[in-house]
Formats: sequence, structure tokens, C-alpha cells
Amino acid sequence: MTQYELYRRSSVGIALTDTLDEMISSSLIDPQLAMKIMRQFDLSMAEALQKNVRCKAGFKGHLDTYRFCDDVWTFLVVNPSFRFESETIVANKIKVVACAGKRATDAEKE
Amino acid sequence: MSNTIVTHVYKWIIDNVVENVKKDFSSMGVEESILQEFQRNWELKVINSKVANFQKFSVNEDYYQQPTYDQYNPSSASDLMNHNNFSYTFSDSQYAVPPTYNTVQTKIEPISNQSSNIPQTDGANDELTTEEIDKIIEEKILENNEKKNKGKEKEISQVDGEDDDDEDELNSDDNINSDLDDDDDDDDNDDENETDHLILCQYEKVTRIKNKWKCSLKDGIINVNGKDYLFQKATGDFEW
Repeated sequence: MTQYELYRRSSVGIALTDTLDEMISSSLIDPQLAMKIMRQFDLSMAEALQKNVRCKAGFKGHLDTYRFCDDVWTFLVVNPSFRFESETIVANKIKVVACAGKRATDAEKE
Repeated sequence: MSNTIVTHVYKWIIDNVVENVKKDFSSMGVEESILQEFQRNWELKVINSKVANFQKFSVNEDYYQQPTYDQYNPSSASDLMNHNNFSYTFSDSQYAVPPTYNTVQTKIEPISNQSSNIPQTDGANDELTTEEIDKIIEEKILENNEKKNKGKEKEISQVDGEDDDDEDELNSDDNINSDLDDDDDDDDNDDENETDHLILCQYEKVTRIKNKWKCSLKDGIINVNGKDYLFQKATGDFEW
């Protein structure tokens, strides 16, 4: 299973890092344990997204910037509109950060 | 809708992480109560991020069996009635209200006042972290200082800067009055700006024909307008 540290930037990941930071600074846990928790979060997040999410979405917009570096695509999309199953949402700008989705199968081949 | 599953998925992630790090905690000799505190703090932070409707996001692990707060209140009230009736007949004293239910009631009421968003179903109001308590105390101090400051302004009505005599006192009051409230707001905004409008995902294919881009994405988290959405697959069509 592919897991990335990418999702640590999500709201639930930020909540986790903040919690761990606080607990480290009040000496409740040590950084080594926090690292283990973060690694477990990467695994759990990957599993949750692959097994528990069955939603499809689409979005359109004007591509302002694109970048491909170290197998990571970054897009800056202006005026995106999102289609979810039951609603449409617009925003003025969104940043897309995408890691390679095929790393798992590549790793299995090797 | 992909926003409604966010609650369920985040809860699953938290539970899954906690379950899997249990052995790490015990092998490093960390008490289980700290693990529970860790889970509670994390859940509170997720709830406070307001990226989805966390009404059903109880702090208890068996939250699927727990009624939501809205349902909980009336049912607990009727429970109280039933229990009261029961104990009336049992104790044969019509006027004695069982003291235990008084304590239950006093426990429920302050919670409903304090945090209407957070469904608290585990009774005692032990969810405040030291940080939150500090915040409350800080707010109270601020209020008091503001009042003091206003009173002073009325008396002195000073417009020419700092007073020489009670410089220290006024300075500290001024600082609190002008800056601290703003600071809190700024912090919140900063957090939002950092997380706002971001898609974290994996790509399967990115193609381009002239200025038209097509991406097939998977396993993504979208944060837009302060709300989170999840997708298994998504397509992006952009014009450059």
C-alpha cells in the first residue's frame, strides 16, 4: 500500500501534529513516539482513503501554474468549480498537490 | 455527499491510529491515560477545525451507539422522569428528590451552555484541556482589565499619550486592550489561510493537448471554503 506524508498537511493531519507538538512540549510523550504516531497516521490515512471513500469528484478551472518536480505535480488553478455528487462549489483559487499514484504497483514489480 | 463521510472517515483514522500505536505506548512505558488524552486532544482539534459537521463526532469510542447531543437531551430528560417516578415508589417519600439526579442535571446543564457544537455524552465536563482553561482565564482577565481601563478613561479622559505617574499600569492595560484580541483573530485567520483551498491527492495520469490539461486523480482530500471533501477518484480539466 502506498503511503505518503503528503496528507499530514490535511486538516486532520495538522490537528494531529499540533496535538503531538503540545504533548511533546509538556513532556507527556517524547519525539520518538510522536514520529511513530505520525508514521502510523500515514498508514491509516492511506488505508482510509482506499477502503472507506467511494466518492467521485471533478473540477475545472483556469490553470495558472503547473510544476512537475520529484514525481510531484503541483497545479495552481484559478476560479475552479467543483462537482461533487450532490453539489457544486466554486472558489477563487486552489492549489493541487499530487504525488504519484502508481508507486505501489511499481514497488511490487521490483 | 463527500463532505458527510468526512466525519466517519476522520473518526476511523483517529481510532485506527490510536489502536495501532497502543503497543508503541506500552513498549515505551507510556501510560494508557496519556494515550487517551492524546486521542481526546486530537479529536477536539479536528472538531474545532469545523471542516465538516462533527455533530455526531463524540469523544467516546463507542460513539455509534451513542445518541447525538440533540437526541440525548430529551431522552435523558425523560429518563430522569422515569427514574424519579421509580424512586418515588421505591423510597415511598413523595417529596424527596433523589440527590443523584440533581447532580446529573447540574452536570448536563453547564455543558449545553458552554459548547453547543461539541456533543458531550460522557457526563462530567472533563474535556477542557489545560490550554482551554488557560484561554478562559485569559479572557476573564482581559474582560476585567478592559473594564478597569474603561473606568480609567472615563475618569481621566486622557488623549495625550502615556501618563507619567501610573505609566506601568496604563501601558499594560493598553497592550492588552489593543493587541491581544487581535492576536487571537490573526492566528485563526493564518491557520485558515494555510489550509484553505488545497487538494492533496495522488495522480494516475496527467495529459496535455495544446493548452488543455486533463488529470485523473485519486485518494484525495479537498479543503475548500473551510470544508473538507474526500474523493476516491477525481478528474481535473484545466485550460492554461
